[in-house]
Amino acid sequence: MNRLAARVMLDRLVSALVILCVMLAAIPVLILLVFVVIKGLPGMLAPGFFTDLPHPIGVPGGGVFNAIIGTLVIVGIASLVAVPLGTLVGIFLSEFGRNRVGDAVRFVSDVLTGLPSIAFGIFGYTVLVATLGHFSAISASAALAVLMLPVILRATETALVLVPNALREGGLALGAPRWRVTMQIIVPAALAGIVTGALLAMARAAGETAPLLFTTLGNEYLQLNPGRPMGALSLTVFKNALVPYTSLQDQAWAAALLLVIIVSVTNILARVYVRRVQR
Amino acid sequence: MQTEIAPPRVRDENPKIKLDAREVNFYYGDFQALHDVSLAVQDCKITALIGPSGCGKTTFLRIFNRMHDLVPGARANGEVLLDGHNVLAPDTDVIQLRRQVGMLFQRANPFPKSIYDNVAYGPRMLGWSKPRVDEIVEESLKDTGLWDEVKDRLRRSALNLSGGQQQRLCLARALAVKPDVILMDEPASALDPIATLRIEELMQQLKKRYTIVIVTHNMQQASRVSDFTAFMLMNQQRAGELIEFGPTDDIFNRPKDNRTEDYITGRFG
Repeated sequence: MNRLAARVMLDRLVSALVILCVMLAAIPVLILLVFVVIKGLPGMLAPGFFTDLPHPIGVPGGGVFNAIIGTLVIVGIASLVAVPLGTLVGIFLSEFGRNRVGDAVRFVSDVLTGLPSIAFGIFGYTVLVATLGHFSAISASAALAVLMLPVILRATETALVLVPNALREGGLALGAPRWRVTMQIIVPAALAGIVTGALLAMARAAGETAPLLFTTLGNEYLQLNPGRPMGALSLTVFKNALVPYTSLQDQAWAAALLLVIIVSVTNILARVYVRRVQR
Repeated sequence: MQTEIAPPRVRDENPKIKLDAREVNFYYGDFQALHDVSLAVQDCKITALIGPSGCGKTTFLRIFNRMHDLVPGARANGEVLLDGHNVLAPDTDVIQLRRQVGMLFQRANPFPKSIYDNVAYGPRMLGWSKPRVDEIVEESLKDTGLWDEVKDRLRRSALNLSGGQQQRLCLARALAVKPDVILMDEPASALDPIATLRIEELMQQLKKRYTIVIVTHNMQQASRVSDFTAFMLMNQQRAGELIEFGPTDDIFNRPKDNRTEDYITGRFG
């Protein structure tokens, strides 16, 4: 065989291998999605799923209204704390963190990323629940905020480091102070990456169950006071999946599907927004 | 925020000298990059810095507006007088200095914003009023010959412009803060011959009002555009030294130093 033919063969072989790997990675995710849709759709289409509170076990029907509100409130409060803080720390790391302080922050954040999520639950329990004397949504938000923080700050740092240095020099050469160049030129240039990181963190927080078990505990009734225990979609999935009633199991599937939808829709909306801003 | 255009000027004895570098030594950590460079840049003239790669031209250029502050471990000794005030003095207001000494880079670096916002960035930062900013944007774009090309799409992204247009936009952005001096670091090295010509024509117009210092690898360019030329070389310790400085005509036609002649005639470098 001549050399050219050998190279063409090798090229095809590697291409085929790459496609195979992509399929291996994508297929399980697709199967998972399809499965959740098939299993979740009937429960979601059942009357009252979005608007009713859970019914007592054995009583047919009922919905997850309390859990939807709970997830939105808990993740909302957590994001309100973690997104601004994480973004600012990420800016610090990228623009002013080439030193010991920056390295220390990076190390701590990497350790936090590797921590199992139940540890954040125990943190929330010890620091807030035990101190306040009762379970509450706000302690869940605190636990989730700590969980989100490293994801957001590393994503922000990565996005900012990718902004070409030429832009920093261009701004500084006009006589702009460092903070102005950072906030008005560098951060907007990296906005897509920063928003993606924040959303990834929010998506992860919305799906977490373990930290919530120790902090917000769950609630079968609608609760709007973050100082009290609240339900959450991930808790609904966890509890109803373990119960031997098919109607409740259907509700668990539907709640899982709803989580997937909430996360995807937020992602898509944010991407559309970022694209529009950057044009 | 200050809104004055320029500080009161303290002139040298010689009114024609705008920038005066005196025995400048420059270090990156332990490595000496410039050795005793002295050079006087005349007001409203174009001064070209030429020499082989690594001879310290760009390093020298970036001292004039203290861009070297951004490099950790970089430091300069000696004096660089701008209108008689030592730029290297610790009490120099670097922000004010960079407004007075603008810079154009090797690769066009427009901000990922609209054409208008790019030029308006400096004036807005200085807190100038909206009508005044509008006026300056138009004036700066006209000065760089871009106005007619972009006046209908000022709100569109600057990144859609061609390479030559982007470089002229960066020039307009630098002009908008009303500098006295413009430093150019191989401003045309990434441009095609026609875009290069545009930049060179602009330089001839701009030198009526601005002092220009340009680093270039292109010797034809140096001989075409500049009034004065400085030739630099690395010495034995790899530090840059000024070999010869004088009117461009003398440097190219009657060089005093053999090394200048060898370089210019293409015998090395």
